[in-house]
Amino acid sequence: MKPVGERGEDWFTSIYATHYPDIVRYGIRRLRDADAAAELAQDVFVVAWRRRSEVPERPLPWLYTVARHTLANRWRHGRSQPTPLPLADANQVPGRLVEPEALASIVDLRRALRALPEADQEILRLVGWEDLSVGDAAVVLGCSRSAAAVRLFRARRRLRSVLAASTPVPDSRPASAHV
Amino acid sequence: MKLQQQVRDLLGPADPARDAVVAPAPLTAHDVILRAEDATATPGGPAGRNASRRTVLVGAAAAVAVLGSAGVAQVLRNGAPTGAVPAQPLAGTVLEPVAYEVPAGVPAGPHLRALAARLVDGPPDESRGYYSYQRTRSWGGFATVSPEGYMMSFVRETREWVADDGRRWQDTTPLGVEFPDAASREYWSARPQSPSADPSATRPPEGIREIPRDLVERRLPADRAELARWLRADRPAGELAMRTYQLYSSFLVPRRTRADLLTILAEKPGFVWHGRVVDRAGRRGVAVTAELVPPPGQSPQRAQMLLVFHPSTGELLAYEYLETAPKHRVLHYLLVLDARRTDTVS
Repeated sequence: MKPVGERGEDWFTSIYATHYPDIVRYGIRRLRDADAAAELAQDVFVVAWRRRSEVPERPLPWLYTVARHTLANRWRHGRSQPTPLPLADANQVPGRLVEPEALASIVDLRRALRALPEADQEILRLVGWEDLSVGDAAVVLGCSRSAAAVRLFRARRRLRSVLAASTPVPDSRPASAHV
Repeated sequence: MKLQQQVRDLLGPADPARDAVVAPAPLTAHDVILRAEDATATPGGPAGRNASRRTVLVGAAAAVAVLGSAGVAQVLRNGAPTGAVPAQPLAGTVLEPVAYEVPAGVPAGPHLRALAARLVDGPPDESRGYYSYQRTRSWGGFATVSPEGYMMSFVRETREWVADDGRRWQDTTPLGVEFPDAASREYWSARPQSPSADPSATRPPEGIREIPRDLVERRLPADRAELARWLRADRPAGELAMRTYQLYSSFLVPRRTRADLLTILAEKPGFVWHGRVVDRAGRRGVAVTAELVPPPGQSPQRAQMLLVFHPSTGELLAYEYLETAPKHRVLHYLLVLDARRTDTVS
């Protein structure tokens, strides 16, 4: 447990306390249950400690990168994967009171998002949900800032096209059925 | 900046984690450090801090994750499986290892060279289409481990299509529960509500869906030298066997590459020939094994990797990860049921 430079247990405890919830939320957005998201977060921070000399001063984009790689590796090598991207689940609605019209639009939005290519979905999630800047999203995606900006622009355009083309959801249930 | 805000405004209400309350971490930062530092740590972390059960990757995936430092997957706690079979066991199979024609085995080199020399075309060579397609059935791979070390996992069938541009689609169907040993079945049968090792395993099939692309471009090694590097042929035979499994998991392997692969395996000391076997799909094949041994002084776990090849085409039919010590049980088994090119994702 030798520290690298100043990066000892105190440093790690600080970033763990600060960013553990962020990584769990990242997992919740891409996995099917909170247990799997918590597992993912633990794995990410195990990597963070082992590679602590590489963790930048602003660690969150780097941690998201590790989370993204961890998920991809599970898919690729495990095949028995945590199932990601539950975006089209009509039953998965916010756990708070939502007006029926708003609920329908959320279901439509998730379905539209799922209809996009995975690369489009990811840049939209990183900016729209993880609240990253384009520059930080570029770090996560391993591309240049300008490339990420173009991806985001095109993904947003495609999302709007899908939304515009979608018809009302026939099986969306009233909010009272869920809340 | 305006675009980013527009995206946030648009997507924010649909964020699945927007109102999520994140439970406190099951491990303290100190526990995570211990887990990271201890190359042979059990995935559950220090006793008393972790949840009552954990879902872990077993078999090849877990082994690959730790081989660099520990040699063999350490996925289990010490269990003490004893007791009689319950009156009403939980439905599910106990996975048995493949039986060999030549149990003791002989050096595999000559047999693998002979096989490489007589290969014929198979479906990957004869089919055409835009997508690489593979259908597999697996036992284990993702398992729930009790604090005592009893494991439960699932049988599932997976179809995967990969387009030439890298896009991928997958369809997974859960088929049932399985256990690596009778004691685990007994343990989990006694639980009125046995937990799911993988939530997807207890849900109805979702159908075909696109999955994330690989983060790095996948390209089949172009020649034998490149293949040897991809396989890490300088590593011990057990690791080479796992890389063989990963090669078939990643690519449709054409005849020329299959011949190169068998030749590389033939030149590697440590592979043992077991002759004819029958895989879990009832197909006849020929089998080789290789031991997976951790470096001295590390994990006490030992494992044996089994590869079953088609006797004519040399394609990989099955792969088995058999823990041989401290327990004797199959942690992962995979059948490659279909591998070819196609023009349709359906």
